Amino acid sequence: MKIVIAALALVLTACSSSEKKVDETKSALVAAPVPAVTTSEDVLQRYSIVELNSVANLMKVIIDENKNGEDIIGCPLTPKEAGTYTMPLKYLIDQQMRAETEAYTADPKNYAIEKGFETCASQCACGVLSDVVNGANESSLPRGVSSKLHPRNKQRLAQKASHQSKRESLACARKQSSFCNSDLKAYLQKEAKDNAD
Amino acid sequence: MNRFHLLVVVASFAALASCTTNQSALLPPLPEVEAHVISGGAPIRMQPVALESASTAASSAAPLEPVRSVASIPSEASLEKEFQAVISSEDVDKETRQYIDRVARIFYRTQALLNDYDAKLDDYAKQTNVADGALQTDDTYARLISAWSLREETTAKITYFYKRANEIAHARMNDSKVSKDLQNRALLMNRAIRNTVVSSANSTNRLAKQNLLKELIEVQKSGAFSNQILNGARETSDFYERNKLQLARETENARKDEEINQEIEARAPEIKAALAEQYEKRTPQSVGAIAPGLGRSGMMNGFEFKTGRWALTFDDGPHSTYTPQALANLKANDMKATFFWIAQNVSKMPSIVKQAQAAGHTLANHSYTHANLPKLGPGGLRHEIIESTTVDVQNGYRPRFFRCPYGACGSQTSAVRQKIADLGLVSVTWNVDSLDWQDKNPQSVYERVKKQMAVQKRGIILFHDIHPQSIAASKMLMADFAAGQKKGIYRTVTIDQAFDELNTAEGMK
Repeated sequence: MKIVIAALALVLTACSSSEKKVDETKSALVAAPVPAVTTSEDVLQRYSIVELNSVANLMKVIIDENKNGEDIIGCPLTPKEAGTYTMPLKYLIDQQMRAETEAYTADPKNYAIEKGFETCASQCACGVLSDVVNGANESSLPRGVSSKLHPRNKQRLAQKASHQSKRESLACARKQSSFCNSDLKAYLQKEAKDNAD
Repeated sequence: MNRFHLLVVVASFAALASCTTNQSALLPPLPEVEAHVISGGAPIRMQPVALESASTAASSAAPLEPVRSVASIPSEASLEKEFQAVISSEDVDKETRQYIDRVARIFYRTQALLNDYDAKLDDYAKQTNVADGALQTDDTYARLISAWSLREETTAKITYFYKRANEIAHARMNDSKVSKDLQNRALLMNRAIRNTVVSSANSTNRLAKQNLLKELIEVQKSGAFSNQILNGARETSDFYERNKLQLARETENARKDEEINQEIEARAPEIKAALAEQYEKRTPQSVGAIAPGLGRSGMMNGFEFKTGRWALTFDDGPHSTYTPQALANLKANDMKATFFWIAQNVSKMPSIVKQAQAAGHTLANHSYTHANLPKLGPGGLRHEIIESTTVDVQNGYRPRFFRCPYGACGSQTSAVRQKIADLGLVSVTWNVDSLDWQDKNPQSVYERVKKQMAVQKRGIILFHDIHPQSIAASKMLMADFAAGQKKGIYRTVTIDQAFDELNTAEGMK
């Protein structure tokens, strides 16, 4: 008997219209004030791949240290909250990656200077720059680069990235004190909320 | 749960399934699953979930088999063959006990499962936010039917053996086909069946024992042999007498149950019409808790695991360099993992796919191109979810699980979750994030995972088999797991194993 009731109740519940929920969502969108940044396109125009990576590094540090943001950047940001921001950040970084790789492929020498390959450790950017360089199609690189400069870039960046210490990560994270009032945070909050279980 | 109850559940399932949005351009029709669970009525037929066509080439793919097929009742010829093998064995008593013990254990196990599903469904129905599409993708229903069918199959085997043993044991003296030796063997067999049926039951499935004994008593009463001769056999008579009162009580209860069943059946058409009307008014939304072992969101994230259970998962591959390294490390540690792979990579690296499959790892879907799914329209979702699954199938595996890229499946009412659910896939997330994409230092990645594991105690660990640091860090972790498994601290599981464990009677306790 129990199973009969259970099955019927389940069907009744499942069959109940979700129209109401959809309407509620629509009206909430209309009523809520429009944030400064609402789309990933806006964020991607405003933040470079290195800047996005620096914020991702901040989240990593908050998670690893299991500390509130107040202890690191002087504003509230819980490890749990940081955990919900990492994947939207990964998406943004992935979105920038193709353009960055194309820019590197077109002119590796200038790209290396512009992005500061030699000083990447100070920004904790060696890892993300290593990904940019690794993504390059070697056959598309300018003549002479693929055999010398490119392998050297790959090797150096990979080595620096794999040796990034916790102390360096923490130092980089501390530089992100403007994050809490940024439009990037507003965007990440929205993304996290939209994908919450 | 009796047969009528199951009928209502299955009929409800069918009613819901019939309301789903029609999908266009289906692959060749899938074989129907026939549920052999209803006595005295036409069997309910359920259409398994179909995949939409990915391409013209895909439409020529072989029909997909349902994930779980329903066991069929064995034919009399095959039952007789098994019976003859046992009765003519050298030690008929021992052989019978072994055979019946094995079959009876299956019977008791499936009966216990059915009881637990019943209880779990009760709890499930009390939830207020059960989302739409919950039944269409419910693996538990497939299991319920499968368990029921298996139970029927084992009942058929035991009762057939008992009937045949009785027939031979009580055959008339002038039956030339029955020798004294055969008759003695049948008597031994008869006793062994009863004793084994009783002894292999334990306190947790008393109800199942009663059900099975009732079946055997019915066999005795069926008139395949004369009652006079039957009663002449002291043991059989004693056995029957001991259970006579219980049988009478159960017969009376069954009569009362039947009255209620008839009342429910009389109301069923009206309820069904009301349900259909309500369903017409609905709009598509996401799947909710699709299996009892999962939470209300219907997603598997590791929090529901038993303490000490860990699933290693690798996303974004296969990768020509790093995936083979991960596979080698797993092999060296005698460990299985789950790979959530991107279809566009899968189609490029069939040999790695085969290698992983052959090694017994669980292969699951991680979209076609690693797109951010909530940002896509219907066409994009079809490509990323449905066509990617088709690619997986073409490469030799039908995934049971899906992981949204960036963990982004949208809200609980999103079209993404609906699409995943429509395909019968279970969404899987994680509760330990290695952040191996952000951190290139293997030691640091490993320490992060260990730190999170110490807090979580159980769960799903996220790595990516496309980075060298992920391979190095996961290798260190595998060594820990291997050592921990020996000490009984850890047990590594695939998502497949974890899901199955969570949704069995044991797992749901």
